Amino acid sequence: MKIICTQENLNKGLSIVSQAVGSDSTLPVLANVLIQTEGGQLKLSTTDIKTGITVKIRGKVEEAGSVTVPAKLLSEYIRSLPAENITLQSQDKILKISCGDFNATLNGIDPEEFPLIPKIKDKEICSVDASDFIEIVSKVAFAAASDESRPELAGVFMSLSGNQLTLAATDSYRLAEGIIKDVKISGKPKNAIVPAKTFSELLHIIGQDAEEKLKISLSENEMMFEYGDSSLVTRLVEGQYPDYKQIIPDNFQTEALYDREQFLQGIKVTGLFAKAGANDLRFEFNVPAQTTSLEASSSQVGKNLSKIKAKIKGETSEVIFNYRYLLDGLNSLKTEQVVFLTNSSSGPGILRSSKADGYTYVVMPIKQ
Amino acid sequence: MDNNQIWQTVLGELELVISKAKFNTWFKGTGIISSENGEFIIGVPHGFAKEWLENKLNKEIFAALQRVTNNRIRRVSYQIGTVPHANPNPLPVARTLPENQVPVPAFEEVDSKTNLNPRYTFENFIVGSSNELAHAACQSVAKNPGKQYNPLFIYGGVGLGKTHLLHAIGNHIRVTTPHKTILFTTSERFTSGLVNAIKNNSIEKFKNLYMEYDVLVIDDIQFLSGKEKTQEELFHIFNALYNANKQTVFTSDRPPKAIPTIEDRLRSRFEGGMIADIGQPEFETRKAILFAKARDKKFNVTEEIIDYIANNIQHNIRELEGALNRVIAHAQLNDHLPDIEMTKNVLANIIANPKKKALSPKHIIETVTSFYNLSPADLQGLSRKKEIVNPRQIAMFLMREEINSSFPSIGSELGGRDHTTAMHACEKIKDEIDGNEQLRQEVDLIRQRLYLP
Repeated sequence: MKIICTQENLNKGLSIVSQAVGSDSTLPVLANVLIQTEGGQLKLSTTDIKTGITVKIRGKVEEAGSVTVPAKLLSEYIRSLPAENITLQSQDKILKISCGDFNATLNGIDPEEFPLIPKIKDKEICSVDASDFIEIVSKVAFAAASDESRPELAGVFMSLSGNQLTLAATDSYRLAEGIIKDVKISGKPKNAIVPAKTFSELLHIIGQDAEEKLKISLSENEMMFEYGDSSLVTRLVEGQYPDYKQIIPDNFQTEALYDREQFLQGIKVTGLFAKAGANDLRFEFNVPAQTTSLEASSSQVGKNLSKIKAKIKGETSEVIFNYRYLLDGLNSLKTEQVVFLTNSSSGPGILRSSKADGYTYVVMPIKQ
Repeated sequence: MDNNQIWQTVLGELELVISKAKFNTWFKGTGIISSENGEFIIGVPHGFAKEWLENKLNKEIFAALQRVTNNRIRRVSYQIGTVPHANPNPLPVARTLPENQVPVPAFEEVDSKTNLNPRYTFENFIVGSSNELAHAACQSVAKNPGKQYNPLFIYGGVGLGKTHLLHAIGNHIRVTTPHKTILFTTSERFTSGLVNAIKNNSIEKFKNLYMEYDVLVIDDIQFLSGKEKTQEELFHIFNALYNANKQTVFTSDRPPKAIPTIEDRLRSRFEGGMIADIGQPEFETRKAILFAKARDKKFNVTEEIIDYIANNIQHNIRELEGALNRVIAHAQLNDHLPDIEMTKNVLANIIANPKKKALSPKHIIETVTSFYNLSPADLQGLSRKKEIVNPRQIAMFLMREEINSSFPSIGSELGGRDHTTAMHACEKIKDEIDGNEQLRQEVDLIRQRLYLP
């Protein structure tokens, strides 16, 4: 194999595929990147047998072939090279790299040993603006459970039905749901649980300037995302996602409208006095005074009381929430004004943007 | 055979030809979903495994299924899905070997409680003058554990039978006094056990466990060198056992004095009991060992062949056994009795005396200087300090003994000295070796290092 390409292209490709490199695996080839020529282009692939990423990059193919070498070392090396043309040449299992005055040889493993990344035979079922997609991913995925004790909660629920793409994640204390409307979806409605890690890999693939469409295909056990010249195949999480819709109430006793910055600042300030570990903050929604009082106290630190102006409708009520969960939700809302909805001291609290943008953030209260 | 049994048998067969990492990666959670009319559907947990089995291992799986089911297979396909009897971790379960396989010699089971290998007994230990002291000491320990020689410390080079004697002690005690508890361990295993105990905060438990044994046998104690915490714990365990009159046995590749960085209090305890060394076996012992091994394997080998092997392999009993095994294997493969010509051919690349030829005067000087932590220039220099003169004379002696250098060339290698100086040195060391045990050991150790690959 012999290929010439620019350092920039190769570096970008490697930084994307490095995401799926297997760590502390028993199979050494999983720590490698597979470099192949395909249709006059250079194809890079990595996998940890849960996820597989392939990227095609432009380059001049002088001789077809394939080789696999340690991904981490290669990407660090390429990253440090000057922005010039790089020649990659393979001989058996060895990869020779030359770039200007820099020359290196890397020992690899037989490419035949590299796992085959499954192909999804079903056709593309959904096509969505990548910029919309990364926006709701950043608003939803963080709410997934970080421990694997309930594997389905460590994933993100994805539903494709009608012309809506819905993402939801919860760790059973709080829940985030985002909806993208007017999405082209073909076939029957489908639900899947996608590993949370996949989304951080996708954010990396799509990058900042998301202009193209993200294509999603689904088989029984895998989901494939394609963006530009990159594609990612991931194993889905098995299991049944809890019917989360039932915990979101339709009617509320109290509805408050806040300036987002003010509300955020008030919670941050008062939260400093909350008991470590519990993070409990008492909210009093006072309708006649049109203010919300936030109160936190801990025997070691002291007490704190803040008042925030708000437009409050409905009944005066008192609820205790974990303020950190509220901060997470407020930070993912981007609008100037936010709506906070609550029912009673034992019902969930709900954060939404003042505009109906399909995003809902639910926090369970701390019961006294 | 139901589907589950068929699949287990197939896995058993595939496991022999596929590396363990791959086997565990690709066959985890697989099973037979259905088998109708010779069409087998194999269930796999995910698409990665499906692709791999379908494209890379289909031939092997098909062939194995074919053998197991006596050619009832027409088609094998793969499907993602859960299998009723999926094997969560396909590690060896009931494995059946196909009949037409080459019989593999069965390994005796090692007793997992004591770690003793029943293959090693006093009965099959060949005694010669080089090891009779160690053998006698071990026998007496085995007969009266904890009473006579406590601790017993055995040392000697690699492959000379230390471990054999240790297992023999344990096996003897186990047969004659089954109520005594024995533990055979290595210093490496001891250390890792201790590290784990430290990690889990269970040092007390760890120590108490060791203190419960009636006989504690630790192999290759020299590896404790430099591990201070391990030495300290061993010291406490040792004291407890010693005070309770329980037997301890240690082995090492060198005497306690020569183990670097070992705590003095531990060293003095090692030296407080009985120290016995195992030397290199002389010709007659080597022959006796070979005869015994050949008899064990029920194979007739002529004395000529035994002589040849014993003559050419001198330093290590394990190598001796390896050479004999090679001859026997070769004879079995070709189905005729081994003769001396064949033996020479088979052993050509083991023997061929590459070692002797490869030694150069320079290599000897380097080995001697690195042993004494000097530089070659010291030996070639003019200094007549004792610390330098002695190694210089040893280097001269070894050049004479090992590569037969002439005295004038020895002199010139070591800084242009007169040949009479070299002659004097060789004679002096030769004389001194007989009387001075420490010097003998040092020279032996250097000699071993010379021949290390």
